[in-house]
Amino acid sequence: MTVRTVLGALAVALLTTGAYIGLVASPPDAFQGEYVRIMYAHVPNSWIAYLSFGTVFVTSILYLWKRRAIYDQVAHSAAELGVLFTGLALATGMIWGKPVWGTWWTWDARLVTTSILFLIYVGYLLVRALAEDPQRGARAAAVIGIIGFLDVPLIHYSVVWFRTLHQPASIVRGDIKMAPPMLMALMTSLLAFTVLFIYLLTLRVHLQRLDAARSESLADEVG
Amino acid sequence: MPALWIALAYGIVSMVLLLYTARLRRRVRELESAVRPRPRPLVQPAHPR
Repeated sequence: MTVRTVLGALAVALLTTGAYIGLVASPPDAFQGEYVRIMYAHVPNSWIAYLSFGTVFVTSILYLWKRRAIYDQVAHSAAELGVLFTGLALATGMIWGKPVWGTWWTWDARLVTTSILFLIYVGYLLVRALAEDPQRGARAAAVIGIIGFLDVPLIHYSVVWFRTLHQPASIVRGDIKMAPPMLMALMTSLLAFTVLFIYLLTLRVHLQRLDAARSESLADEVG
Repeated sequence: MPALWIALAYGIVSMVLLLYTARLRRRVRELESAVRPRPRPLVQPAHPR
């Protein structure tokens, strides 16, 4: 049994527990009622999007500095996961917004900056996919990965700096504005998604390495 | 009505994540079998014609 298999099994167990606490065990909100349960699916996706792009930022710097393929493979894998989880955060946010705010979309600072982040990293993946020289594509993508991450603090503080419809953070530097059963549900979901992210990242990097090995063996056969 | 919205959110998240994980795992299996060295024949002529 490999470490990755254990991570996958742990992610499934934690996700199931998180879904049970979020959907059944936690209480409804005094203002939003049952709709608050969407938070346990929405917030972890946003958190993993930040974590993914943070990983892209660090590994892109390391790649430009050291030029080792592994850093580029991790950055590429994390960017793909970041796009996936940002897309899910936007989708669940819209599904939450329609019954609570009365609209799917509004030109709110949090929503707009998150959409920009999504588009930046779709661009990152396109630059890689369309580059004729993979090395050059990797270098250009690393620059986009570093600059694109500057949008993350902008998203985080958008609810403080601008007048927005989106609610501000419920947990700020130890100040928790949330009932303990709800906090428990949110924390379990956050932990479950973090373990899932580590599992998916290791799987995606393994795939990148296999792809590189196959390309090398094909080149050897042709050469 | 809230149950419908909650089911939609959880349904989309679980479906997308399941499909993505399944696709990654299938692709890893395919590539692992492709890059694995082919076994050599057990019996070979010492001086092939």
